[in-house]
Amino acid sequence: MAAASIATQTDGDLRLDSITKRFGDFVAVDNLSLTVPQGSFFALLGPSGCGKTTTLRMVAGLEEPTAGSIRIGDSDITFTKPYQRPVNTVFQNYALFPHLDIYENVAFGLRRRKDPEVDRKVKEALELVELGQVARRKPGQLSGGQQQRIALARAIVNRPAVLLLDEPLGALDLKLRRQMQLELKRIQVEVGLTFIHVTHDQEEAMTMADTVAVMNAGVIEQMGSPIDLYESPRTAFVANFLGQSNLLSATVTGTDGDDVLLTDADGAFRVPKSRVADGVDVTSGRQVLVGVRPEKINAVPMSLAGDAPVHGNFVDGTVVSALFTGVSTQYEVATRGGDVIGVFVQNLRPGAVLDAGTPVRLSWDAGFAFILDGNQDPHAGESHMHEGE
Amino acid sequence: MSIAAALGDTLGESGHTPQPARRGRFVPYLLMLPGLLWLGVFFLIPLVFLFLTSMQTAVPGGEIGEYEQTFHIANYIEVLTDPSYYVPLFRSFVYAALATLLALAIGYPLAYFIAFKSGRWRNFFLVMVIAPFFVSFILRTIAWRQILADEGPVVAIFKSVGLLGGETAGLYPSATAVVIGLAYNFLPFMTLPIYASLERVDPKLVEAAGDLYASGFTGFRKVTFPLSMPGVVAGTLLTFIPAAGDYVNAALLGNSKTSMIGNRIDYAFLTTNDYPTAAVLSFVLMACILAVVLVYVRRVGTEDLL
Amino acid sequence: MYAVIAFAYLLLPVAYTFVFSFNDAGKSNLVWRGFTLDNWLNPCGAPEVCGSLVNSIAIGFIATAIATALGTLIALALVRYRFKGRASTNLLIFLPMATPEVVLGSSMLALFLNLFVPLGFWTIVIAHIMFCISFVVVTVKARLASLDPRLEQAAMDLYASEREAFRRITLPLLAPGIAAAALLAFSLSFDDFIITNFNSGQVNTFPKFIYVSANRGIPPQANVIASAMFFVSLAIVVIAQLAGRARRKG
Repeated sequence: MAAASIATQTDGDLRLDSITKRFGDFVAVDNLSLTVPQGSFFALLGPSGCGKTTTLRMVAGLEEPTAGSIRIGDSDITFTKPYQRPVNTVFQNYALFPHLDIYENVAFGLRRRKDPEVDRKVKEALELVELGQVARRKPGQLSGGQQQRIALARAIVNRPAVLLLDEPLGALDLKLRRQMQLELKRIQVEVGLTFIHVTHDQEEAMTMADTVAVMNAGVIEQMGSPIDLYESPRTAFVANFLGQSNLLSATVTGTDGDDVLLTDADGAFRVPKSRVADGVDVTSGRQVLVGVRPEKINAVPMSLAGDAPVHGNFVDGTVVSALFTGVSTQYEVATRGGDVIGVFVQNLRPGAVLDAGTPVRLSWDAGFAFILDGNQDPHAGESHMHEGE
Repeated sequence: MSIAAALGDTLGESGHTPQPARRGRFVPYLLMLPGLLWLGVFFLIPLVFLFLTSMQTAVPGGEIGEYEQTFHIANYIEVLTDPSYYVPLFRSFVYAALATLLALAIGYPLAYFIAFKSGRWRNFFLVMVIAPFFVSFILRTIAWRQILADEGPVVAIFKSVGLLGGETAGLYPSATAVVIGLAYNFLPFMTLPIYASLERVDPKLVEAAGDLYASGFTGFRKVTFPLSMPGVVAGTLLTFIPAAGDYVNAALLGNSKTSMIGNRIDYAFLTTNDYPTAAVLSFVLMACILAVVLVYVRRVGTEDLL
Repeated sequence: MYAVIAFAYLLLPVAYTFVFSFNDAGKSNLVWRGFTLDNWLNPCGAPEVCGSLVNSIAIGFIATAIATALGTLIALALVRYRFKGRASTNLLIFLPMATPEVVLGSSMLALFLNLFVPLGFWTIVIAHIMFCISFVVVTVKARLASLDPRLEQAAMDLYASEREAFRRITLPLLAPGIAAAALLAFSLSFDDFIITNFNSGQVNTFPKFIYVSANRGIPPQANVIASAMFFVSLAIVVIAQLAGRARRKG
């Protein structure tokens, strides 16, 4: 009975239209719309509590939207039961059935749909995750990484139109996580299903996904390819959540050809008009935020800079702290105007670390900067931990 | 930590969401209906009947056991001012309190031992605590009677050691025997909740206390014991309440001078067929227990024992 | 060391009962007369011993079956659904456990008397079901609350309807809790004396029989039965433990 009513339409893009979810007075998801092209690897990225898991659960059917609609291709699945949707989920804690062995766990969905080829498909799925030999063991006897792969096999074996992954790698240690990220990507390409991966780890999202949507407080702040999001963020939150950014307050003084002219306590800058985020007003006199990422900045000690011409924008300051991280050295530089700028310098020449107190000249190519609306918190989206935990 | 926060995000939104209103709002009520109905009919209504019975008076010129409903509230006054009733009532609470203390004194170290010092034998010991209760409790109590009797081994040992002398040792029948019997009968009810609380104490907490300069006993006093309090409270309540209403121990191990309120109720109901008095005594007992428990719980401060 | 003493204290009456089951004592088992195996070979020798035992077992089974069913349903409702009156229901469940047996027994007697219901086998069953329900609810609730509700959600995500998810996932995982509750109910019913005494009329259960014959003299066959029960229950628990350990390994 359930088998017949599952939408046989397994192709089509996933579309969420104006989805809203309210829990009493609390709005978890606020008028969210997005389209996930069929066959793509889509990441929903955001901090805890931003609503990404709630959105995922609405797609799975485990939560009902307060408003809006969900479609796969032409079928509206907004109110269909979870067992009638061509959607499967890999849960964060795997949710493997402890009283069934691995084979039966993986076969569960197939059996409910009275699939005629259970044995072949189960074996195929286990081979895909390279765990064919544990078929008769129980979930409690497997390691975390193995359980995660079984949870994946259990979902994939049903070839759903959309596969949802709810922070599946959260409980794994770093090395295993990196390995699984590559595995998941390989499997997705091989099987060709639409994957929607929910995570709070920005590095994970960027390495695996074709498209990333950054969510904050129930809305999508920006959506696009990882490169677009990283190099051209549109809000302070996105700029700070992906990697790190220096966001400085500046005033527009005018334009010059293709560039916007700005000024702040440290002097004047130029930023190409193409680097202004959509909708930001750059008429003269406006306050905006100028952003530039730490790795794009070059730091040269004043003793060496001298009066040599500088290409691009520059600012002078003093080193406040230096953190050696192996690949790079991370500096904090205090400018004369009172800002603190982060600079990441690749350790190309061993022993070239600048000590605290050294006067330096910071410079960057104008094309690397971006301009954001001035009416937002320049620290939105910042985290206090750097390596994805 | 970000992962914990993320977990919280998931759990808060997904883990324990109840079924949405759309899907059969009446299901829980239907599920509970038969059970609650049974409780309603056979627990609540009987209490109502008991209350009604407590206000009946004998039919004048009628047979024994015949009563009519007269809403005679004075029954309560009559009973409460009769020493042959309020003395056993008072006695019951004293015995129950003593038995509870005794059970606590025996049970707490026992629970502590099983929780921390039993190693691989833990399950075995747990079973050993419950096992005696597979032997009918009447038989066990009678066994105690034999054991404590004048001709029995215990008295003989004490006599030979010189602790007791004279004609009769008076161990049985006596108030002491009743209290021992009560403590014995309810020992698992005291031990198991305490064990459950202690088992959940993270030994690292005690280590942390030691790291912060607390000696062994102080560590226990300041860390372990307070953490086991919920178990102690549960255990004492589960022991005291039934003990106050028990009468089998008093009947088998005591004599007319040690009778408890339970004996009086039993006597009134089944022997003299004085139903109103028996009903009055029952409600008085319940009220007193409720009062004691409320005072106790408020002092100890735990609300959610369930 | 303290533990040894405590356990000795616990097992003393049991040991005593066991020893005296071998007493060659005829009707009254008060003084040791001599060792005999007769009692064990002929446990139903004394009148009423086996009769009352059969009653207790029958009552136990019936009461357990019904109480476990009713209690499990209540537990399911309390844990899996949020509804008005949850707090009062919890209170109602808790009350019988907190009421002294004397009051429970006497109030049921009052009910039966006032309705002119004859006392006997079925009034005992009714009473037992009543006080067992609460214990079943508490036991099953504990087990149910520790079950991850996401397992049921995962089942539905994998095309199982609510009913199928319950039948294939929740119920099997709940089974040990239900079994424990049933076992608890049976023990409570079998060993109950006070409530039974008030509501049994002329019918004897095993504990009641022992109490009633306490002054006349308890036949040693009763000791035999009690000791046998002790060892059987012990064996059941031990076997269950070993089975659980074996299942966890394989």
